[in-house]
Amino acid sequence: MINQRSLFFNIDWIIIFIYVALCVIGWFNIHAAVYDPQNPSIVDLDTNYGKQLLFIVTALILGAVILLLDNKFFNAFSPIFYGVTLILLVVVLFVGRNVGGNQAWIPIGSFRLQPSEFAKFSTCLLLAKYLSSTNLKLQDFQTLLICGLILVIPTALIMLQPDTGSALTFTSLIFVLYREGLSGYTLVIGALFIALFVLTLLYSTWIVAGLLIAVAAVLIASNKKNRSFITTIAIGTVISIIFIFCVDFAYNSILQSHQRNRIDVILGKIHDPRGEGYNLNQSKIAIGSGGLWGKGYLQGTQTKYDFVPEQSTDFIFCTVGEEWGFAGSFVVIALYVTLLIRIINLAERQRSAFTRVYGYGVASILFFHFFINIGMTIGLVPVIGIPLPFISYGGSSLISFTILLFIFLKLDSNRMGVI
Amino acid sequence: MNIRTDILLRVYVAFGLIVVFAFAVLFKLFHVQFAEGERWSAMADSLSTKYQDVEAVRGNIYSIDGSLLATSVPEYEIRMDMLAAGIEDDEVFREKVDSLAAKLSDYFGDKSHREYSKMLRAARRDKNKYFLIKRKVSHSQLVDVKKFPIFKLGKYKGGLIVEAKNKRIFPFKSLAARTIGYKNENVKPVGLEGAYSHYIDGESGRRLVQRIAGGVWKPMNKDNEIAPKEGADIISTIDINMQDVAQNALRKQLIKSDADHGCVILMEVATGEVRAIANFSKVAPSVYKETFNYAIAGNQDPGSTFKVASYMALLEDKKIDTNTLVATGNYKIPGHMIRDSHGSIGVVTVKKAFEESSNAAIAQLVNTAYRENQSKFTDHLYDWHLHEKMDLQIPGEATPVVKNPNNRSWNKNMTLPQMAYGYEMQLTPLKMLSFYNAIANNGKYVTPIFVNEIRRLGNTIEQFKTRVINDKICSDETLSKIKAMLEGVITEGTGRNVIHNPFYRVAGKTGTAQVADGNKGYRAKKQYQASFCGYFPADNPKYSLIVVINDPKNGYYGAEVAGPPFREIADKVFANDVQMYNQVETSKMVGNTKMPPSKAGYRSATQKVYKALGVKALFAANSELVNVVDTNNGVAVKEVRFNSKQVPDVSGMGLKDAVYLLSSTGLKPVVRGSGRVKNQSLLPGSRIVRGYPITIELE
Repeated sequence: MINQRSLFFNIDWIIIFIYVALCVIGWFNIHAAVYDPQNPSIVDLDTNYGKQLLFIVTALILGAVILLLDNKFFNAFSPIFYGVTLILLVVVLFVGRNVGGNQAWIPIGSFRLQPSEFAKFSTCLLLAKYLSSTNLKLQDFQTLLICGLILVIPTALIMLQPDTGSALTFTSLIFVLYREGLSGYTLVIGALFIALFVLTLLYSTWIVAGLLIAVAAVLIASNKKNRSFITTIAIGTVISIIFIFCVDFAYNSILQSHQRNRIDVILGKIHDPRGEGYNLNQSKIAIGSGGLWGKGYLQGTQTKYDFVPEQSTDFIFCTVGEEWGFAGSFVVIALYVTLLIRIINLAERQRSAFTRVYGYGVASILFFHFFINIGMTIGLVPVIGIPLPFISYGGSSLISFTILLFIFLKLDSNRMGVI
Repeated sequence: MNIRTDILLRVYVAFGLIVVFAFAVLFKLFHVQFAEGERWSAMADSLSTKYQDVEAVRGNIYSIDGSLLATSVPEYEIRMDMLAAGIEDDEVFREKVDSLAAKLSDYFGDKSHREYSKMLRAARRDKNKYFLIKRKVSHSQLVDVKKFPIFKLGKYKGGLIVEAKNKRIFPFKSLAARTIGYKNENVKPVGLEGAYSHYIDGESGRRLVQRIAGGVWKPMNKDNEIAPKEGADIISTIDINMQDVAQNALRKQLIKSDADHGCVILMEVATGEVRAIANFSKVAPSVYKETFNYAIAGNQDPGSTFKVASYMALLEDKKIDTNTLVATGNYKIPGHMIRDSHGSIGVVTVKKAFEESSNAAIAQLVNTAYRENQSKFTDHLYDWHLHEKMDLQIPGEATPVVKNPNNRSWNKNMTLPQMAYGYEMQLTPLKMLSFYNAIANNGKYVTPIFVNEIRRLGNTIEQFKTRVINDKICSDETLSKIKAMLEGVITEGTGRNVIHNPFYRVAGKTGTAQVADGNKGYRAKKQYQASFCGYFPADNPKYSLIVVINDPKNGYYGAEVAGPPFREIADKVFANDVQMYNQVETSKMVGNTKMPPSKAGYRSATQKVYKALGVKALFAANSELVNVVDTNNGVAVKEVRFNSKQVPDVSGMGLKDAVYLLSSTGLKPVVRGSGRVKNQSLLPGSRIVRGYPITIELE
């Protein structure tokens, strides 16, 4: 009989390996990014790289604690986690410390807690608990409404800080709903709306509206007989036109100017390497000058000489690109892809719906961070301030991602225990 | 579609999305690093070098008698190239690094041997070619540092990199601080430093720098591409001894009468050169500091000192003569009763009314004479340019406010009589003084000047001549009457108890103005401004002088509050200015002006001896120990300062003081000769080693 109480019983070692690898890569790159010639030692606790080591050790201890907890704990307590997170999200609006324009941190002694980071796993847990209850159909309006509420409440509270980047993270959980039975059309329609959104910003509202009507006319002309088809196309066109005008309004009146500018930079509508495009431009210079093999560890000039902003947090990938080149970046991307595919693989082998839904949630959130963060450093998506999981500097983010991942590992280790 | 295939499809979509997006990222990354790679790399290089300005050494500011009022001393930042030729070999470096660390630690005392050693070794490991060792190193420290192990290998082999910075120092500390001024980053420059920064700054040089770790810019070459051009020197009109006298007299009176603030200006009559200008504001009980230039920027109702202008207008228009009779005490104008603060002295002559400073008299005289044609009075004031700024050499002059009947605020009944005794207008102390100076200067109205000339490398590049505003402000007849009246103030009038000196006479006028307290008006709290404005010697004026003291407690009359400092300054300036002794011909003084020499020693003792001998000596120094220097202007005193870590300068001292001082610092004096100390074997300022012998030679 195998001792089921053992810490590492049935643990997926591939995930553990990738997790540790990413943490170590992060630690070395933070060292390179904020390298201080007066305190060169990577374990010097006065520096951010020294502190990151401390965070990694703390995260590992926390991970071990999670593996020791009882499996049912997470399922049973998920509403409580969710509730506590919501309370913290409300509290932070009143007592939070404002850093960089976001009221996102609760100071506790010398440590600062970022509730929005913890909202990620608690929302996943509650969503998993709800979707795993029996006799649910995602086609039902009521089910959709409850799922929507679970996602929207934390998102709205985070928007109030206002931390747009973190709030957007929760949209990735829609994919979990898709896996659990949400109609595939929703994804297609979502993609169409994103396309419309980009088109509206690139060209004038009237041109896009005209284009839509033209396409609708051609479609209707090609299939005059089918009445219901014509009705669907007509309604779709009207909704789309309303949407593009909403986009136009939201873009000009709701978005803050720096957000608007970041989008314009990506769309190539403004070219301003010293002003709005500064971050992206510096980031591209750093990554672009890396070449195939990079400049070598601690040899980067762009990141080390403080050209790139937020170089140890949101723009940490610049250091990877500059010092390790395409080869190093490829390794990092490959590690993420392997991790994501492994998580989905594991999620699919679960007998428990709870674990499966949770696994998809973990994958969605990690995927969103991975894609948006790396994408913004190379100019694929607008600059959105979210960290690169396990690599970016920062205790709150590392610890929350660790909790997110290790709960899944724990749930997975117990896959045999569920009938 | 059955459930099984549906779920499979959804799982494939999940995998597909991950792969597709990952490929998008990879593709874009590839694009940035290879397709656009060269472009970004080129930008990376171009961003890491730039041209940087090299600050020039700023010029000095001198007083008219050649004392240094402001100067720049070099201050260095020492850095080290850890890969210098002389220590390329690891063996050599390891062998010497500890002794260098020990030396640095002993010398600067800010870090331990181990810390320095650790720091240097770490910098070596990092191949740091521009490692910062210490900031704010003085020149004498630098000389010593150059002798340290490794560094002594020479400029290139030793790896010592020296960056010169400049530090501004003011040798006379607070003396005329506001007028000398300052120019700091991010602060509006003040005084001469600010006004002449164009000359003093010099021209920045240029050099190529490269960005290295930690965001530091390191020079690419040893030499500058364009060498900076040193700034020019400013010779100000300030006389350091007069400034000292003026400042001390003012401070003394401010403390005595617990006033809010005050100022003193001493000006040479013929040239308008400002010899002394002091401004003090109360910052704590009995503590006064130069924080604002009231003399040029403090606009106030001048009060009684202005009456001289009213009488001048009346005399010039022949409306009165000095023996015209006028009633004093009260004068009623619609809506207001003008009273004399000392009460009525009956019907007196105009001269007497002026000497006793009767408000009622002048109000009545002016009102009677100009009531029908009010602008005739103000035209005089405008002719004298009292309403205009004087275009001073330093910034911050307040614009005077002198009304005329066309102004909206002009009151037909009240403004004219009140202007007559110095209300309903705003003048700065310097503006008022300039007017008195014009009287002393036989009617020639000149602009006050603060800067005499500008020199670069000893050559005059610009000289400032006296600028005349008005060649003759009034007729000689009027002038002599006015002068007689001003002298009368001192001999018979309000100033009679204040200034009495058998050797020379003063002409002047007291002023006591009630001051409006901000926006609360005159009635909120009785606040006064006591002033005394005049010139001396009365028969052949050399200097004009104004003392203004604001909000004095216990007594507020001009004579009582502003009189004593006026007298003290006038007495001391007179006593020290040989040219003013008109009873002694100057030619006879040649060769006789050598003052009795004194050994350096305690200030109180030196002071006592000079006092007993009747020699006027200026004690500008505040230190306990002083050295006496014989200047052509009298005996001046130099500060002698020392601290327990450095060998003191005992030159000029007598044996007793020198031995006492040296012994007290732990040195062992060995004495040769007798008289005053001529030489000492250890240089002043060098570090003291306890018990070390020092030989002093006396002569």
